[in-house]
Amino acid sequence: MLALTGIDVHFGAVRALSQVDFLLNAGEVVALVGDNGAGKSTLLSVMAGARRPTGGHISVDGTRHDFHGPRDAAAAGVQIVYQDLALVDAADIATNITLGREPRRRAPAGWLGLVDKKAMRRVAREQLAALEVSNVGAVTQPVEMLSGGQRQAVALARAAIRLGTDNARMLLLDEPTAALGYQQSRQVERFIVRTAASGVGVVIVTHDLPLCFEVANRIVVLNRGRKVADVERAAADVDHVVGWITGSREPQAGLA
Amino acid sequence: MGSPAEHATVGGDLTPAAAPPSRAAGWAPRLAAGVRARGVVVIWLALVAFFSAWAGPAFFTLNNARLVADASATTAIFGAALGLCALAGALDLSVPGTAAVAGVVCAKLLADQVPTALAVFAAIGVGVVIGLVNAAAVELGLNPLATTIGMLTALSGIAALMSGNQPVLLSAAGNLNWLGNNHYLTIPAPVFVVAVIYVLGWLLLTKTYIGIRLLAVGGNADGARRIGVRAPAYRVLGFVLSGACAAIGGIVVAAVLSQASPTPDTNELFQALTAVALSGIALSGGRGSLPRVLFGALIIATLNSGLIIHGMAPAWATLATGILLVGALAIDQGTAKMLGFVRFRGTSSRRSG
Amino acid sequence: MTRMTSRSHAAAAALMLGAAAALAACSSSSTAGTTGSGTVSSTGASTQSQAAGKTIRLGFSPLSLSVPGLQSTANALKAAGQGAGMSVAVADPNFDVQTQVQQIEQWIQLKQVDAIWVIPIATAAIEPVIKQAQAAHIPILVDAVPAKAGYDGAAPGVSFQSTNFSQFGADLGSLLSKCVTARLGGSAAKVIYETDPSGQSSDADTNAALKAAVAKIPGASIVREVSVASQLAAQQSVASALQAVPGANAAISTNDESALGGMQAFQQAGKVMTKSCVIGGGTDAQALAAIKAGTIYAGVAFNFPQDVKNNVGEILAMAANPTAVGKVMTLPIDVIAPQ
Repeated sequence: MLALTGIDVHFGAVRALSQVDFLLNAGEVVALVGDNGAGKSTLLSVMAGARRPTGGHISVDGTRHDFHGPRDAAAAGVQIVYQDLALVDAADIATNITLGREPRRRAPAGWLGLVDKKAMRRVAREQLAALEVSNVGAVTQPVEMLSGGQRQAVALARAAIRLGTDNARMLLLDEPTAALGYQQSRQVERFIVRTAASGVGVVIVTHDLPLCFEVANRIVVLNRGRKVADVERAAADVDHVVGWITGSREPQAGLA
Repeated sequence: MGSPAEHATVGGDLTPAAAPPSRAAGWAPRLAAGVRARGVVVIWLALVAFFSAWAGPAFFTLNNARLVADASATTAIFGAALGLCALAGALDLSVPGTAAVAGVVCAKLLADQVPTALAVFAAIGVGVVIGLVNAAAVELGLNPLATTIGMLTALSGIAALMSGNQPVLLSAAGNLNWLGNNHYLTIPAPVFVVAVIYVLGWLLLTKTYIGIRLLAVGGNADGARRIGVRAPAYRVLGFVLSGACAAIGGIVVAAVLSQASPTPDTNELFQALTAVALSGIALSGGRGSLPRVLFGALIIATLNSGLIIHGMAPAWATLATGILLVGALAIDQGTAKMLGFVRFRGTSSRRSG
Repeated sequence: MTRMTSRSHAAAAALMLGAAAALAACSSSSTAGTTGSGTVSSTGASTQSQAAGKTIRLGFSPLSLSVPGLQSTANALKAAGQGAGMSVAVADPNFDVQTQVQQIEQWIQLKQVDAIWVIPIATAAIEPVIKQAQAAHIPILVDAVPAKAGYDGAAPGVSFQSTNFSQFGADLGSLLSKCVTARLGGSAAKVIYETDPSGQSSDADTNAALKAAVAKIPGASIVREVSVASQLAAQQSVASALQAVPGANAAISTNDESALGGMQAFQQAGKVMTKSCVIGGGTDAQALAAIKAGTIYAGVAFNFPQDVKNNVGEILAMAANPTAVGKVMTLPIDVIAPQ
């Protein structure tokens, strides 16, 4: 479904990514792992249209795409939840979840841009319930007052809304469990599995190897900007994966 | 899910003082929360009460209320200009320049016997264009503060050129009394202008998706952009709104004085900035409430009125104004601290490379 | 910071160019050579040189061109200069002391002028500049009291023109006295005094003289003193003062803007203007019209046009004889009498 071929990202002399190929199919969960500086977040940014590669190309369903910005990627069906969540702190939960897709009042008030606040709150509550998040309280609280896990839930809800509608079939998650406790990490796991089961392709960038082995169908390892392994989870060995991450294990046959 | 253990975890993640006030020690935090939410209004009411007692019987009268409303009107209009742009994430210091140019344009058109409505709309249009120029410069990457200050200088030159650096008088035929000096239902005209601007501004910001996105861009422009909101468009809107409001302010001042001065009134700018600061709108953008700017303007006008009515000598009055304003800001900060309202950012202790 | 796409980049640049072009088209019908703040420009080249010789280049440095009276003076000076074989460069220091000093030093060091007329913002800061001008044999006319500039009197190539602010204040006071008789029927004058917040030494002299004059009027008192930076502020402050003292029947101002603002406050409070004594102003058109109409009783103004004539004469004389000792003159003060 989503295919990246020969992606290079150079900043002057620094090669963040070199000749990286990446495939994502519908309903698949791919874990993207690697040590710090390996290029995982950079690759994710390229997929989300937030960064233009200096070389290589992107295809969606066989069609070449040139993402000039995040809107292009979103139009092609890519949704991303960033590690810093990109939430608007001063705004409340309902506003954040519906940002960019605010439900409007019926005409003629809707023509003037008036939003349906009740619908915003209802949608927010529904999304949070679907994420099994029940302890947040009123969706009119500003998100800056929430804990890390609750903020994560809001960011996921914001992406999840779009997955149901308008053609969004790919979800990218950058370190989705980094700030979470045990219970909340399990909730995110279940969310990922459910989402993939509905036909969405999911890419997760993570340090959390147990999470990978729990939910991923495939594991891709990056080391210093190069892809060193691309294995089916069932066929993968934890030690091998760690070895690829640290560089102590030779890259897979056929890869740089 | 929903187990007591989970609640405990969630509760433990929140800062203690953000817990519901009913669990807290008593009435003090609840009072602080109330003051915090409505700080400016409370401060203004306190000032009114104070001056009613101290400044003499002339203060707390209907006529004085009208005078204070009238005096706060121009500050409120310029405060709205600054506030709207600040909420979108930029500080527009060219406001007095835009007001001067718009006033001169309106007055000159009226002197050329252009119909009043046309002259007024043309002048507001000038404000919109100036806003667009500001926005273009900022989008090209120039620093907003430096850009708008530069524009202020340029605009003062333009106003001087257009008017021969003399005030442009409004004649009896082409006058703006309906806007400046007339009273409707005993309320001065400028107060109606303020009402319209603030109601429309409040509706925009709180009830429309445009306003929601403008605040989002002001609060976290990069984040908003990354989820697909067109940040430049909303920043442009911020400048356009401030340009339009500044132009309206300039026209109202010309109406009140029956002449348009080409010299930008930096004193008004300072008062408007003070009103915005009192309102709690963060000059870094994205948070704050527009109606509170109105109360900020009222505070300044009430202060001036009370001190003059009491009869304080001008030098002392200036000092007293400064002290009272710092005091108002301190109360705001103090109640914020009392609630332990530290902006809680979701932390991500481990970050990947 | 977001980076714009190249398309919107181009749009922004086009908008700015368009704005600049519109600006250029619109800035017509201005008086020749009006300058913005902080700039120096050479204007109004004299088309007829005197038979005596070359054109004299005069540099004029007032407090700020934002004061309408000084802008008028600059215009009148250029006009007078054209007929007198003098080209005039006007600098606008916009009330900033250092800018004024730098502008004049530049004139002297780059030999851009043959004579200088300066209205100093801070007289003490001008002293070194006067000495530089003397050393360069550039005659200089200074609007200051000689003692405050460090001189005993006129000096070779240096003339002084002082403004008698005490006289100014006393004249305002005597107008009040006349108005009390003419309009108040001799009853007690309750005065709202509008002062200038810029705190220049001239204000102290004016204030002292005015208050002394008011003290001499039987029954008169200053009921409120307000500091007003603009016409709008004057209107609002005097309105507040009237709220406090509804019986106030007089307002005295030291400049046109505050006089007009005070007048408007009186009118809006429903005062009968022919039984009120609003005094002040008299330089710009609106104030003069108000005096003629009687809504302002009378004003006191510095007679800048006459001043310009006197000064042009003096400057030409000094330029003809740069080493001769200059004169000490006074700025003519006019009382704009009631009609």
